[in-house]
Amino acid sequence: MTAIVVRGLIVRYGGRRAARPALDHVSFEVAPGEIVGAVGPNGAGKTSLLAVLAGERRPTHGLSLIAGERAGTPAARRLVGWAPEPPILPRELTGFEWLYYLATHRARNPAERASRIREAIELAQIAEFVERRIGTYSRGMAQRLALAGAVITGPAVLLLDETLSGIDPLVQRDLREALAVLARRGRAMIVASHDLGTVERLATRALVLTRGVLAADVQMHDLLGQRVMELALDGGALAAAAGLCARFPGAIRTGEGVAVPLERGLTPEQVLAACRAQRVAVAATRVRYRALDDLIAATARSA
Amino acid sequence: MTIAAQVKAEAVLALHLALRHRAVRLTGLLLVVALGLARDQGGGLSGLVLLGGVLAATAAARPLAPGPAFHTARRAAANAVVTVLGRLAGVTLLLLVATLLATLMGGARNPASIGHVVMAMTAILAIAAPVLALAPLIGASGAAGMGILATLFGQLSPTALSVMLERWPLVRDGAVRGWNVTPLGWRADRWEAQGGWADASLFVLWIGLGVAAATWALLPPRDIEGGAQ
Repeated sequence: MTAIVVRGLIVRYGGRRAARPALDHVSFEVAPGEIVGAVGPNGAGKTSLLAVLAGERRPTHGLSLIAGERAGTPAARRLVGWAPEPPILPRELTGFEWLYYLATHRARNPAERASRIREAIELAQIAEFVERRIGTYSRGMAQRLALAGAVITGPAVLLLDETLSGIDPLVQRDLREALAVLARRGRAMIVASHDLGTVERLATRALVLTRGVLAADVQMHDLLGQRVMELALDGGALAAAAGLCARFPGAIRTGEGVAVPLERGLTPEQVLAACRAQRVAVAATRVRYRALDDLIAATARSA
Repeated sequence: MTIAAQVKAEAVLALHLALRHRAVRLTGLLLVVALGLARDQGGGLSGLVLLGGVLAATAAARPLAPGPAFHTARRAAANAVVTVLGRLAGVTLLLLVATLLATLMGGARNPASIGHVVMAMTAILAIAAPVLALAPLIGASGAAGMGILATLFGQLSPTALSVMLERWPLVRDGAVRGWNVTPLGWRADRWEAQGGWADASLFVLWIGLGVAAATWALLPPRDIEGGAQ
């Protein structure tokens, strides 16, 4: 069964008179074991999407299912582990008390509760501070506790909103590996983040949201295998950048010139030949692998 | 886990949320001081309800306060009634201990009976349950403030209120009607003096209303127009 199904999702804040919906006819599916990155500029709708799937917001229109259950129903909420941004944790409790509380509601017996707590503490690497009051935690500690809470509660789907941001690189690396292990065990995940490096390393697929619209849905290996040719143009030739963008589909303006994706058999030589044909003076060139920010920039400019 | 284990987890959480909040601890400390000062004055049931009501208003505002406390209930995804009953049970435990202590401290002049404590607890819970329900809707401070005001001014009987407002007959009639249907402290005194089920029933009704309203507040969100799925 598909872990997440979203069909024609519309979320509109402030009633029907709102100028622009936070999510506009968004549709996609996530299979069990798949890790999907949700990326996009501020206000793109990433958090709204996760809030709907977690059952914290009701959509204005559309269908969202968690393992076949309508998002927001008690059955669906029991299948979802959500780590919101910022982490919403009761400062009065210790980390252990918080995890114990969550595990009590989800486990079938005391042995399972103990096992869930132990696994979550190990996965999030919080043993050294789990007995401390949450109010004394740093931001990174709170993020890791929120991740542990999501893992304890979500047997089918994990929704992580900027959960790995603000965590030191070595711990972040371990957490990515631990999440990959959970995915291999069949857990589906949506990771919303502005930390594109984390998404590129963790996710197998990316949803690019721009102004509430799902602008791109790409497999990460397809995207990251592509190359981009960056052209630095002479000052006088910058005006011709728009012409080059029109000539090559997917090309975008950069600070110094143009970035052209080398796709559909396009070679650097053909790009340079086009520049010569249009009498554009090229100061320098560089070919690199494409990254998520190229895709976000391209979709944001076309939106 | 069994429902009993879930109720226990909610009760323990409510105790932690209330006891570890500085406003509740400060209120408890002030009440101990007030009890010490008022020890020779006696005070009886109305004194217990006054002190317990103030503590109830402060403590019951915490377990479903907007923010992390409310969010925990959503994340746990337990049955909403179980969550509310569990959290109210935690607050009740705290209030029961406080009421027993207050009864013992005032015992020199007013020998306590179990019936006395039951009456006080019923009246105090009739403040706590609506405050618990109001907290997610108007915020913890607002709910606690309303509970404290109801406790303080609730000592006034409807007759005294009527005399106070006799220059404004329209206001007086509405206020007296309201005074007669809300779970205020004067009713506990009347219950103690006259006995019977009428006053007790009204307190229990308000406890039930509080539980129902808090359960409603925990149901899935309705914050976006339409909400069709």
